[in-house]
Amino acid sequence: MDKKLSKEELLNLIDSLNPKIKKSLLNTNYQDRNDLEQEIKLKIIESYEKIAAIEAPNFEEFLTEFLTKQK
Amino acid sequence: MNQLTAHFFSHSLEFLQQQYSSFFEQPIIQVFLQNPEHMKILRETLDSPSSHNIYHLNETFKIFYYRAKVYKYMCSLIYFFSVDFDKRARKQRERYRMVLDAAPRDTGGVIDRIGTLDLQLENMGETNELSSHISDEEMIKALKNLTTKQNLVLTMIFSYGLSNKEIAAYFHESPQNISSIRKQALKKLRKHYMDEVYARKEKSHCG
Repeated sequence: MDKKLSKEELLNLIDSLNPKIKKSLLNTNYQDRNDLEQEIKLKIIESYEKIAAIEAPNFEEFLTEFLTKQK
Repeated sequence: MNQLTAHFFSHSLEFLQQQYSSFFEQPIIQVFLQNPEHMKILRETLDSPSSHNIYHLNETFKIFYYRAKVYKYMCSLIYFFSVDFDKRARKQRERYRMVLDAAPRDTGGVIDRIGTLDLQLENMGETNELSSHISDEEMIKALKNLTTKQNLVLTMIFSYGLSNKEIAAYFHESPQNISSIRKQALKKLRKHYMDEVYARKEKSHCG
């Protein structure tokens, strides 16, 4: 299984984040809301490269880091 | 596998949960183990810490953690972008105000340059009431049912884009009151619409 996000998954994720997007629209004037919604989605798609480049540790790495931090 | 983790994997889950309680209190670990599938993988790995099992656990956790990070990233992106967007829009409005009747420098205002306006256009500019923007007959009727104040508040909000605060200053009232007037007015409109329009539509469709 590929750990990186495929573009289809990204689109699904945007759909699932729709309520969050709708909520954030309240931050602006009602005239600008449609613009903002579109811009947010565009911004997310534009930052695909950045999202794909996010690194996550595996279980052992996480555990090691945690244990060394504790000491 | 290094020494630290080898030591970790050589114990049972119950022992680990006591010994490393702060590790299991980590939010990411808690959520990870809420999924029974993940719990099963961890148990299997602890039962028989073969390199295959450990690899499986590592990869599953990595994918899980990656997803969590992406989700968090996108949530903050959405929030901060919307705040930023609003700031930009405000600045834009502030900087490029639509001034129609004041003279910027030596030239006259826009209104002087437009020349002779035809009467209809002039009237349109004067009446900025909500009903002049609406073509739906039922909606106009519904608007007429509102009180003068409700109508005025809605006009100020939707035609002029004023904020609750600004309208409150105009009426010398609290913004909360304006907000509730607006809410009530919208409720009334919605109710009218539901009652009249949908009932009629249903009738015409169903017989």
